[in-house]
Amino acid sequence: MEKLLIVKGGKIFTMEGAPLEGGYLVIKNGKIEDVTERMEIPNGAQVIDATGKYIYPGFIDIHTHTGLWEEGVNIEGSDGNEATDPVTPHVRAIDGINFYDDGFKEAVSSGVTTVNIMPGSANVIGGQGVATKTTGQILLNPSGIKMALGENPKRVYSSQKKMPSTRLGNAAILRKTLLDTLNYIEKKKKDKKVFDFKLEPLVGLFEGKYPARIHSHREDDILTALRIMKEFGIKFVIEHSTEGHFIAEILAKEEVPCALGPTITTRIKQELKFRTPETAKVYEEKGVLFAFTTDFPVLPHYGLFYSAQIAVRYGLSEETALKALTINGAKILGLDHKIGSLKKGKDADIVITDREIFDPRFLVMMTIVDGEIAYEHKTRDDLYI
Amino acid sequence: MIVLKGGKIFTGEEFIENGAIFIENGKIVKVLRRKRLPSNVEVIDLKGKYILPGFIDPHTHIGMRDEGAPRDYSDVNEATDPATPHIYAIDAYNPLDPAVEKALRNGVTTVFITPGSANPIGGIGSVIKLKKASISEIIVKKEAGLKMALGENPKLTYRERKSFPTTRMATAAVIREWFTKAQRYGEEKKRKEKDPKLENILKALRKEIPCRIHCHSVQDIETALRLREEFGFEMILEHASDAPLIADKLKGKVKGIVVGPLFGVSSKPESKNLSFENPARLSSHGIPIAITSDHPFNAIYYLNLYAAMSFKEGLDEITALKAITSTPAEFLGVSDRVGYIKKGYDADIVVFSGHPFDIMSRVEMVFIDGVRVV
Repeated sequence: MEKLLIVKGGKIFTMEGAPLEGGYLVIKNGKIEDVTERMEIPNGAQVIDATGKYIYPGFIDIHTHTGLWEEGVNIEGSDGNEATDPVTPHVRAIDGINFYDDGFKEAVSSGVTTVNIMPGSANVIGGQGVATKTTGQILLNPSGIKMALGENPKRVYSSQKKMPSTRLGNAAILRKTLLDTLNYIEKKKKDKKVFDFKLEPLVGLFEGKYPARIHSHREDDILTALRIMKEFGIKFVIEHSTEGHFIAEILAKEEVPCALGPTITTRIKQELKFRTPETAKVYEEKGVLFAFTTDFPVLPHYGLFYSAQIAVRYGLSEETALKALTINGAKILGLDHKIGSLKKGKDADIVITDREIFDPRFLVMMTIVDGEIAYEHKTRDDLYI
Repeated sequence: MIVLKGGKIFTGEEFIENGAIFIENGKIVKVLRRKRLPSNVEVIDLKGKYILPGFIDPHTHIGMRDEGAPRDYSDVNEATDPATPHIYAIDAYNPLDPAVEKALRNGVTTVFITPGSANPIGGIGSVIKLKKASISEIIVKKEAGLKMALGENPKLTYRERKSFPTTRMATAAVIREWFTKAQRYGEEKKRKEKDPKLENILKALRKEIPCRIHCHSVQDIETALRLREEFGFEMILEHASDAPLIADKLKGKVKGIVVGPLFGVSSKPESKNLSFENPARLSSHGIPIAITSDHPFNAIYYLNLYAAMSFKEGLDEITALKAITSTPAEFLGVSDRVGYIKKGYDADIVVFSGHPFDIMSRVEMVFIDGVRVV
């Protein structure tokens, strides 16, 4: 007999219209079978009584380094930045991720069920990201090519006395590598022997298989990204988008999606100077598609909720905040057919909390991933945050 | 003709009581379960003794970094280039390393010598016997595996040199790039000139030799699995401290796991799950295991005691004995010659005063190719 899991009662935030009070969420074979107001519970079904609780789609963080910078390990567990060459599209985040790292445990117990793990921002072209469930099931590999503009590549390579040591250098390297790729594509058409291991992953950008995911904080860096990507006709996502509020109209008009965050850090570098908790509100007003991110390990995964709470305090609607924790991330990853809302046929990734997530006292009571209970809160000792 | 008579014979598979081993021209010509001996042979009576195939250590650097020699005398790692598939451990082997004599006196007759783990693609390892003869005479198999490495060692090595690879991502990229090159090289119909690096990788791609992949942590083991999936090589994992965590994923994918060095503390984060319990845990999942000293990291001359400790932590007696005899012979592709006491095999035999897992037992005799060397 097929296994049926039913979450009964509670307030269900389906992210597909208004929340449902006191309904039933039916899970079969790891997928959502139904979301309904009434039903007769069949014999043999496992029932989770969520009366008085709150039910959300599994939360999504579209920009993390989970398991790539291992918790509590120094250099030996640090695999995010191959800072020996500003152009490393041929390296893959998945090869460095320790799925047994405590960071994943923390993500699951915080209700974060999907993360997009990417190389860091030392290199102008950093490598390939991977979208994965926090319980280890790979969703998309590669999920995109990580790129970086602004201070980070500058700082890393000026200390090595190499190009790029300026924003000019960043842009030039990016442009040249993309041009090289275009030339490479042409050469390959003519000669089957032509093969470049390093440029090969960039071909997918021109074929529209996956986007560029471009680390940029300052307004001018975001605009540089926009300019270059338009030049080459490449789909892209802005990562961090710290000064995005200054150019939100442009981002909306050009339909540039943004990963927003980490929004509750200190201003540790010059390019974070104009970070404000109001960016999310401005994005909402201007119609920018965005999702919150922790940039784990910059913030812990549960920092996602503090980021959303503070944005709400500064004017973002709860409705948009919820989207920016769930369905928007799914859309930006191109995975909204699979995750991000509670709808028949989607993965059964579900989080049950004791209070609404905008109440800072809320606790995650249960996390379900692909229909399996991945975390259950019973005593204070379960908390892994 | 020499006959070893009586005692308990471990054949590489099981124990035989009071049998007799007939040795002629360096080979075992027959093994009788009951002794009915001809009169015209030299008989060595081994009543009460334990007789085993000479031990095989499947992962060592013996003769490549002599005992007592300063560090810069080491020939273990060619840490100047992350891809050195064209180098051979045998070219550094010094038969006068004092460890060779000690290993022999403690029953180790065959070893795999291999380049170290500084490079993602390290080079070719060879199977040799520890007897006194010219290098060409001691080689059992010159090309027995392509050593590779994932995890901390390559990334920390090249981090010091400030060059690629300094991360796990890049370590995998080095391997992927070279294996892709070799794949394309192998597909070329008319090849103008031979490339020594790609030729050796091609041997792994064609499964003529296994990849021997140094790894400890779970992400490195999973990277090895992905690389195997992508390139279709045969693989044996070396050390693999975290392997028991994902043993179910490994069965059928690895030819086996070489466990060790186990005698010591974890010297680095990635080997934190190193334990004498690992052989039993892996074996219970049906994964073939061999035990190594990784000499000079653990001393090769206590190889039987590493098996004994694994036995103590739950590995069954026969599997533990096989882990230093017939199983490593299988891993090294030399199981038609060594690792067993059977008809047709090289007469490499060790005689213990008592059970080889008893710390008070002593090696009383060692034969290599039928010649008594101890």
